[in-house]
Order: sequence, then C-alpha cells, then structure tokens
Amino acid sequence: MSPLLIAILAQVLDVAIGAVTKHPEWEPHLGPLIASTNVALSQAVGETADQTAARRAAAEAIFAKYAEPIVAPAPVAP
Amino acid sequence: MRRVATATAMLLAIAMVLCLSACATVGQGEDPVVVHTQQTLAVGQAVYDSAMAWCTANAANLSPAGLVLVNKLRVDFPPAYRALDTALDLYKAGKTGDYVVALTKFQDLVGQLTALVTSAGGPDIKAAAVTKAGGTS
Repeated sequence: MSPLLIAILAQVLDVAIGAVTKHPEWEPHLGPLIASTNVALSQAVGETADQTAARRAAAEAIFAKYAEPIVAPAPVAP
Repeated sequence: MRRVATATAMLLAIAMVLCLSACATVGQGEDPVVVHTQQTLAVGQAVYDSAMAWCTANAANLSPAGLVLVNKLRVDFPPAYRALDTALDLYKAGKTGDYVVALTKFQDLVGQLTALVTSAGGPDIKAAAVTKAGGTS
C-alpha cells in the first residue's frame, strides 16, 4: 500500500471520527466506513525503525527552526 | 457543560475506533492504531511546519490575538508531539498509557493550526501536508 494511500486513509478516518463526534446520529452511516478504513489500515505496514528515527529527527529540526517567537514586523517609517 | 459532552463524545468515538481496530482482522500489516498514529504524527509535523512558515511570512497580516495564538501553538505543539510519540511507544510495548488523551490533544492542536491559517486567509495546509507526508514517509 502506497504511503499516500495510507495518509489518505488516515485522513478519512479522522474526518469520519470527527463527523460522528459532532453528529452522533450519523454513526449508523459512518460506522461501517470507520470499520472498513481500519481494516484497510490494518493491511498497511507501519514505519521501520529507521523511518521512525528519521521522522523524529525531522520533527526536532522543524521545532528548532521555530524556537524564536513570531513577531509582527516593525512598521516602516514614511 | 457542552465542552465536557463534546470531549466525552470524542473520547467515546476514539475508544470505539480502538475497539474496532482490535476486532478487525489484521493481515500481514501492522496494528492500524500504530499506522494511523504514525501518519497523524507525520501529517501533524508537516502542518506545524507549514503553519509556522506561513505565519512567519504573513505576521504583518495577523491580528494581535492571532499572533498570541500562533506563538502559544508554536510552544505547545512540540511537547504534544513528543507526548504522543512516547504514548505510541508505550502502546506498542504494552498497549497501555495515556494514548487516547495524547492523540486527542495532538489532533486538537493540528486542528487549531489549520483553522488559524485558514481564518487568516491562508491556504489549506492540511491537504498539502497529507500529500507531503504521504510522499515522504
């Protein structure tokens, strides 16, 4: 299963769960979608140890990039 | 009161998914909870990167309240990411820990980041993040 398909399935699951959370009456309709999405995801292979390490390293690099507060630029003098 | 009801409903929904995952026929792949969480983390960090980059470039267009919020999210996100990552490790090891709480908090932060950028006139960063995470993982 391609990584993009896994990502899309994960998003479908998020959206379906969010919808059921907001509208519990939709559960009978979305319940099967949630279940089948889970079954599809169960066929997917997760990260390898190397991929997990790479993801964590990338995340820490991103966090370091935004360590300083974001401030509005000073107004330019006319 | 309504927030409590919403939070309870969300926890119940997540518990339902976890239950369904446990009941699902697992083939040659991995636990769907693990795969889903890894994807959530990958998409979340891409959303964070995009949101911070957009807000930095467009700081002049953000309201004072928006600037306060983006800086709060900037600080709150990394520990939430690490907490979910740690909770996932615990889940994989023994299926215990505050996995659901960590996942709910993380998804809430990702939702706030997406909403912040969209409400300030920015692009749909989550859609782009899904493609990015899918293409790089």
